[in-house]
Amino acid sequence: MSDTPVIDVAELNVRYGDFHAVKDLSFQVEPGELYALLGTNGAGKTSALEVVEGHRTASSGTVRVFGRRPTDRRAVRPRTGIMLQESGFSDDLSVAESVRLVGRLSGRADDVDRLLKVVDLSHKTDTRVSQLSGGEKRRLDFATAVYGRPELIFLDEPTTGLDIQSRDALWDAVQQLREDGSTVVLTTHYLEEAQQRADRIGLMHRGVLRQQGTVSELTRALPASIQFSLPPGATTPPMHSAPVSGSTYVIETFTMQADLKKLLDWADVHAVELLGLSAAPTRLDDVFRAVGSEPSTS
Amino acid sequence: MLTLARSELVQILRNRAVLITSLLMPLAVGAFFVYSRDTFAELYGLGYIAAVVVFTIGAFSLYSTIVTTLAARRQTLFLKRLRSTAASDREILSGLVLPVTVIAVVQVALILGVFAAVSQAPADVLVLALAVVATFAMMLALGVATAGVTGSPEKAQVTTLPIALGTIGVASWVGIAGTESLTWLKRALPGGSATELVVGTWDGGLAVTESLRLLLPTVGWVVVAVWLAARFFRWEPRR
Repeated sequence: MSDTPVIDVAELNVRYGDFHAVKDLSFQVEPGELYALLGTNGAGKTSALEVVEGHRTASSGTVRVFGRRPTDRRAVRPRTGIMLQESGFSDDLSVAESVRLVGRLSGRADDVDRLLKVVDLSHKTDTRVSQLSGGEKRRLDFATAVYGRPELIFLDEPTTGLDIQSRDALWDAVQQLREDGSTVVLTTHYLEEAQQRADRIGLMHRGVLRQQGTVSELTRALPASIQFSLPPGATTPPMHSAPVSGSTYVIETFTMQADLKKLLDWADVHAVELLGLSAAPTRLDDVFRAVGSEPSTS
Repeated sequence: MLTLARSELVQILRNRAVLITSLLMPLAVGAFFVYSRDTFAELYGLGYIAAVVVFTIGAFSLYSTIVTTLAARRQTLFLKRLRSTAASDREILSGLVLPVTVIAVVQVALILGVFAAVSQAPADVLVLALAVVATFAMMLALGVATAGVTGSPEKAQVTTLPIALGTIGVASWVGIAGTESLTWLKRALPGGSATELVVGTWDGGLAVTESLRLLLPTVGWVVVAVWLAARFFRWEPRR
């Protein structure tokens, strides 16, 4: 497999009149990687992705997909599958007709029946799109995106409206595609999905890529937390802590194991029962909240 | 393009509203004029009937259907979906308008063919065909331009009225009153010179040079309409 990035974005800017939606965005996506581009509402990730997908032109900056301009559809699209955020299917076509149409126009070949089986729509082959539920439309959308096993797949909010079985099936299919070498770019509001699935994550806020890295790299900068309550009359534990409400304490720590041991030793020595004791690592949600609370840089 | 055109044809045939209002109604209007040909021929001549048939089909079967179809496809993000494939914008647009155009051409050929069989054949079939092609090219490009300022298929019922009724009005005015007076104005209006050309090629009496001269204003309108289409057409709904 080539080491050349599948996606190479350098100093991308997108402006709508006076509004600067994307500011000097730079990132790369390597072959076989699952890169999640996340952001707060209005962060500019949709504008950025639309440029990378070739749906919109950049105000300035350079974007290359497979080394080509993303607007070069004839060169890029046969290798790219795009799952849009919204349906975009004709109500008057059947499920199989929709997959076949988009698939053929994409310049790839596949077996429609196989694909509909993967997304569990085999029983809806001849059903008109107008008669599908929201979740079924998302699965149809996924089917068109992965038609012909493209090398690069954009998944824009892929699991919105899906039940848990459908989500699992979709992620199984994505995993299979990744094992076959596909590169995936994901946007989602389900942070736990990004945390579980992504190799690297880019976090955007107000048009700027604020943080980028693996989940452990992103969460490393924020402390984990130990939470517990003390019975009435108990003395305050030795490490730095403050009650967040009544007798409930939260200890923020970068050395979870050592601090937890210290706390348990203290409780043992003083015969204090730590009520509701819990220890939680830093989650992507915490990083996301921290990024979202940062003031604008411009 | 043919894959998309085939799919578009299937969608048109499955949509009862489009079938009735845009395809069957103009066919019925055309049939009415052919049926009542003696009455109209006595008043305005056979060429007038041919012109009204061409512009009724051009305005409704072609122009209005294109506006409605493109507005609907954009509103449902179907256009965006198509643009996420390897097809170029030109291929997408051609594929979408091809079935409607073919249906309109078949309709006009059918009605004028029957009309010629029951009344008299046109004096110059070739130039008549050129006039129809130029008229349809103008209506097609105007349809794409109007679709750009039409937010939904429902709004197409309003946005198509000025051009649809306007061109039929011009055709009727020129067909009934002729171009003896206000010659330049009538020929400059969209459809004016094309109507004169259709009337002349059906009834006879037009010299080839005069025919070609009458073709020019319509070709000019085609250029203007293509510019308007390029300027106003949008692929995605306004946000």
